[in-house]
Amino acid sequence: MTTTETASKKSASPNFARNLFVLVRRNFVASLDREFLVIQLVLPLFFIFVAGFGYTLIVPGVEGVSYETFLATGAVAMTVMSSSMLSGTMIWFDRNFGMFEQILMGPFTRLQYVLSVALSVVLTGLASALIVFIVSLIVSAGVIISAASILQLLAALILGSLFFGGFGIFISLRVKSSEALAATMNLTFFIFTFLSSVFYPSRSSFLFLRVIFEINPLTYVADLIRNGLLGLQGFSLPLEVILLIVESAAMVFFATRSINRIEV
Amino acid sequence: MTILEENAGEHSLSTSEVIRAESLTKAYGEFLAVDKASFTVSEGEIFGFLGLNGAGKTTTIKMLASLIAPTSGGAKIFGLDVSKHGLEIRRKLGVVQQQESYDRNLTMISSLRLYAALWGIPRDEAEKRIDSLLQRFQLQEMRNKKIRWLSFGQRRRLQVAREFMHDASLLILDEPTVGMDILARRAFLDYCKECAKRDRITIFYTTHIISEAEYLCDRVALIHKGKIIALDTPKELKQRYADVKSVSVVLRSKGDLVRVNALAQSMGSLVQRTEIVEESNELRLVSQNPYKLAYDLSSLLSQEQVEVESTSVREPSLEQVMVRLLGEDAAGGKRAVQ
Repeated sequence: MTTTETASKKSASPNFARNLFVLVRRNFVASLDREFLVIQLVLPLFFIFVAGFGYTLIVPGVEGVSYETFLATGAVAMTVMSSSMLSGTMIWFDRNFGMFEQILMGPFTRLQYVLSVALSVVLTGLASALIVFIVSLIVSAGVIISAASILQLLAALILGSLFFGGFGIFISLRVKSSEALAATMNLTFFIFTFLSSVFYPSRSSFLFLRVIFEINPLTYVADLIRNGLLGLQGFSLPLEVILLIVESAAMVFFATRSINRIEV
Repeated sequence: MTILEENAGEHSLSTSEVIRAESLTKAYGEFLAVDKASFTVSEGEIFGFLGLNGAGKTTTIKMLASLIAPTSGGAKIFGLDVSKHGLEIRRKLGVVQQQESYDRNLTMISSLRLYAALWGIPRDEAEKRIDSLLQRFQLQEMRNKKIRWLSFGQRRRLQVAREFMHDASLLILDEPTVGMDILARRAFLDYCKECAKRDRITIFYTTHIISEAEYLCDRVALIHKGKIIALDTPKELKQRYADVKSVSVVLRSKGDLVRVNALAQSMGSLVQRTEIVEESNELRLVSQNPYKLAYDLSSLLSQEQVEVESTSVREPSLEQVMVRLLGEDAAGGKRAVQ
């Protein structure tokens, strides 16, 4: 190098927050595919505007609200899940294109790396879900917009993002091929979605299925959103909040532990 | 005292020691990937770490870069234990991995800007450094191309260039020239020499291309099956194994090669091994006594009226030394360090 080489030597900042910030910035610039982000908004909007209108003809209403409104709030929960599970793809590509090792051989820790991925998908999940929420207001009736309801919505989205972001990381570290990753993500997406209260209230299902519904964090996310925006009750709201916090914390813990344990 | 011990002793006195590995060992179950490797590397030194595929080079690098923990033994970099102070050490490291590493969706320029941001280089300073590096690595024309569309060699140059951006005091380069064309490779080797000499950057360098190590490195270690079997300057190693000097006889006519080969083989124990190089009409002969062989063979060929272009005694290359050491090791023969 020429004149630049004589510049004073500078080591990277040891600041944890700065490192986290630059890694999040990297994830947004380098790892998130903008086209994919737009395309993955199509599915929830399809459910709201196509399936919602169709099912309204045979399902007049659910728990006192129109099915379209019920489904729209469920679609917001579904969006936060699909956006957050991108964490798995981000880590998969970083590992396969050598950037995972490269970052860990730089001035970063594994914890900073995994937190940056989690934070990136929380922000992505929040943004995607809020877009779907705003669009869904077109078809939703009786939505309560207040500081408390928005706070409850944000809490549900953030906790949901953390759980599904952690889940995506956890899965991506266990599969051996991109095909297996895609298949696993698709399968789990449908399992989480259809065994939750996204499309129908959990209390309407068989006892066996109801147990699964009631341990599924997507049910809690959907119920929390509906409680805040529509005043609907889930199976037990305080318990759902506690379970969602516990499950999200556990999933982030497992994801971090998995990252810490992988040999590179 | 072994070569390694002598070497370690010499460098333990140095105040500018950058790497000190002591009995560095990594085991995967029963398999010893690196077996009690001990060496030191001084500031501004270019240290070659050579070996066959799977010899333990990359595993050693991963331990030095604190990516994996040693099973036993240890290493200090800048006086800090790699197992305890990984983050502090990595702030002063630049590592080019053997495998490719890049953000596939970015252009070359945005990738470099992002890399500068990761290392906390201010934007204006980063732009200057990027321009300088793109010029140095002849990548200006590709600056706005997406990395995924670059050739393998261009991607490799980018991967190497970015490690020179953040003022690393120690560069760990794992086969950095793989995929580079001959001009890019030579320019890069010269740049490494320049950085080591001018900026006192220490370079830990692995390669399969032994001539590259011979050109570049102040000292080299040969690792085989996880063990370091030789460690010294290229010159010292070649002198130690001077018996691999060869006599080169270049003939006027290709037709004489087989006859001369037969004549040479009839000279008994003076000739250890012969090799015909048809492209250059050349016969290469390995001998314990190359000067006597050259003299006697010249006389014999003169008597036999064979037209000779030239006769010369060649110094052994580092590659020949390596082949011999690895051959001895494979045959269970005497180790260089014993």
